[in-house]
Amino acid sequence: MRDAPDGHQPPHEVGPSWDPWTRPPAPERPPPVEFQPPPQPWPSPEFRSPPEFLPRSRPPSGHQPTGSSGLPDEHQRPAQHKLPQVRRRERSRWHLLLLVAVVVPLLTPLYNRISPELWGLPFFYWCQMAFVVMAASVTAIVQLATRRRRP
Amino acid sequence: MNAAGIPSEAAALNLPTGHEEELVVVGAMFVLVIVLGYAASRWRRPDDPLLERWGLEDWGLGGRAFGNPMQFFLLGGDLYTAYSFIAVPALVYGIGAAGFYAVAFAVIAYPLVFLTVPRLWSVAHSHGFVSSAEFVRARFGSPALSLLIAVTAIVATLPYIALQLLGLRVVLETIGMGGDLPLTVAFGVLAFFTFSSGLRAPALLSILKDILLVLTVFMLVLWFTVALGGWQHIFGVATASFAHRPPGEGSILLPPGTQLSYVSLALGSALANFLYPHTLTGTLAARNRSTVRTGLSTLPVYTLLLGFFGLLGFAAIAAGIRPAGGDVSRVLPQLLQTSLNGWGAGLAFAALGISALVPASIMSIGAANLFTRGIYREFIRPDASPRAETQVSRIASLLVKLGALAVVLLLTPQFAVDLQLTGGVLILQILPAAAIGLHTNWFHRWALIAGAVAGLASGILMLYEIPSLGPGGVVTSAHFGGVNWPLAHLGLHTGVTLYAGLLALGVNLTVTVVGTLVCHWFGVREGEDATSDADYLADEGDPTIRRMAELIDGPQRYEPRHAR
Repeated sequence: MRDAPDGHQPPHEVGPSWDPWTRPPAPERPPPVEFQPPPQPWPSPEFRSPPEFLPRSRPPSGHQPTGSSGLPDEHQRPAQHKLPQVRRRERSRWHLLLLVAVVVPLLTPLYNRISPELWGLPFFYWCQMAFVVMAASVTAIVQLATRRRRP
Repeated sequence: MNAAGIPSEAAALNLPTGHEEELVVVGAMFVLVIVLGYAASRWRRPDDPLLERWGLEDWGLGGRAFGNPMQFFLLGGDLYTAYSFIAVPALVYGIGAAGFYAVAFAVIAYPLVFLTVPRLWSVAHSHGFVSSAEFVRARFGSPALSLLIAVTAIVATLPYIALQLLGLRVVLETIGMGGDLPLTVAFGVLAFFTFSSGLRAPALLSILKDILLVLTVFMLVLWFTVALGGWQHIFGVATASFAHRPPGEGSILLPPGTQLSYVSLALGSALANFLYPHTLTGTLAARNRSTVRTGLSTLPVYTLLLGFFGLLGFAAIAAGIRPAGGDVSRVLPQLLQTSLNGWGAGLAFAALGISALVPASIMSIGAANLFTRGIYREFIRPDASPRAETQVSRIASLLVKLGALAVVLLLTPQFAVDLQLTGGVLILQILPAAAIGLHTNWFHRWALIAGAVAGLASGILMLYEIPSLGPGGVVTSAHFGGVNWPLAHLGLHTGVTLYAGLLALGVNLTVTVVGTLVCHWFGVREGEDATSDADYLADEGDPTIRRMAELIDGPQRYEPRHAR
């Protein structure tokens, strides 16, 4: 059942007291028309996706084609055609770890000292080398924890 | 930090002769560089019709097709340059702990940009950008802003290339090949393989460089434990040596009052790192988001290498190295020469030489891409075909390198170093548009222009006010003597100095934010944002984006794992 253009619904639910003969049918309501396909359906009948771009698996659930009709022209600048919107999230609590990796190596009072030495290296130097390992691990952990399966 | 103006030929003549073995090794590696650089033009080269369509992305970004290993080598060769391998030990030799800021900066650089750089990759992937100027043009809809970004980035990169050539010259002089001719020959090779092969040449060469570098480090570690008696001895001698120098001339720990400048220098350099065009060129060459992110978490391996080279500065003190002609940039090459001798030193010098060629090549490609897409296609010939773009880029890269060579040959080395310090301050000023712009388009285009101009002007002014101090606190030159600006200029009664780039960025951001509020208040028309939110999360394999990687290799290889 299609809605009338003004959103007016025929009052079926009002009850048995409604009598069609006491009220004439609203003349302003247009007669119901058959559903007509839009002039350019999506995808258009001419649309042939290139064979190498046929999906090989079921499409991802968040994948909703909202693009306009027509074959995306390779010569067209990609900004000018609508891309299928793939819903993705970028926020994650894991990213807070990155803050640690950025801030801690900048706290010089923490490590501006000679002892404890490691293999004869003053703390100032080996601690910063340890920060390299720490920051790399943090980045790797965040990378692994927030990676997503590509659609 | 670098004693200038010593005629290099005279210094070279003072060195002992008899570098035949080194010359043979370096010469052989040089031939290998020519062969590899030429072979790179055939490596994974797409068909001609594809080249017609994707020319610049093929030459300038290696077809955006580098996977994890190649991305690791390429960015490693790109970020950890010969100049840093030479300058960091020289700094540590000269001033001790403060020279170690390079390690702190490299530590925080990757986590700092971990959320930003993948967004840049995605938007460049979905729109076909090869430079940051194009992104800014699309994001803020302002050709003037993109021109400002392009010019700033090119100007900041030029002296960086010159420094690589300077590093190359120091290496050549140490093996007795001083003078302009050997440098010009090396330059010719660099220009040849960049012109013919584009980004694929430095990518292949960086593998060779890494093999040589690892060999060098292995030999050096052996030499330490056998000949120098380990770090205990090295730091014992270094501490005694620093104790004999006048105060302020270097120390094992950061002296009181300089910690803030250490931190600001590390933070400023880390922020600037991924704004340079060569870093972007290396990053955009990745084939997907995951490659970019994996690269950011694996590249710190090179930071360990850089830290080791920094510690070599102390080893040079312990080994009693006296740099020829008082030029501290020769500390590392001379240390290598005394410690490794003969074939080993030859390998080490070849490693240093190639690590100068690789970033110089990528930098010239990055600057050329900026020129082609940011200036040539935007203002000179908007309808340029991909083939024409590639030709323009090739020629631009050649011109950029020639400019750098002219700086090295005609001006003093110190001038190149000063220019590079200025370059770091300049490149930071594109941060609001090129980096923060990746997360928000709130800024107004005119406010961004005003902010960048204010940042550039205040940064250059601050650098102008910094005198250079020689031994004993004597002012050797009144201007452009460093990057740490004393806060005393603001009327504060403190000896604290801060990195001028960071201060200028503060000015820049303030003007940008206030300007944006003012523009919004008066309802000045905003630029049109041609990007959508989904563009910043796009990835390889998205259905309607066809990029080079898929055209070279075909899409079958990228079938999602869960679908196999």
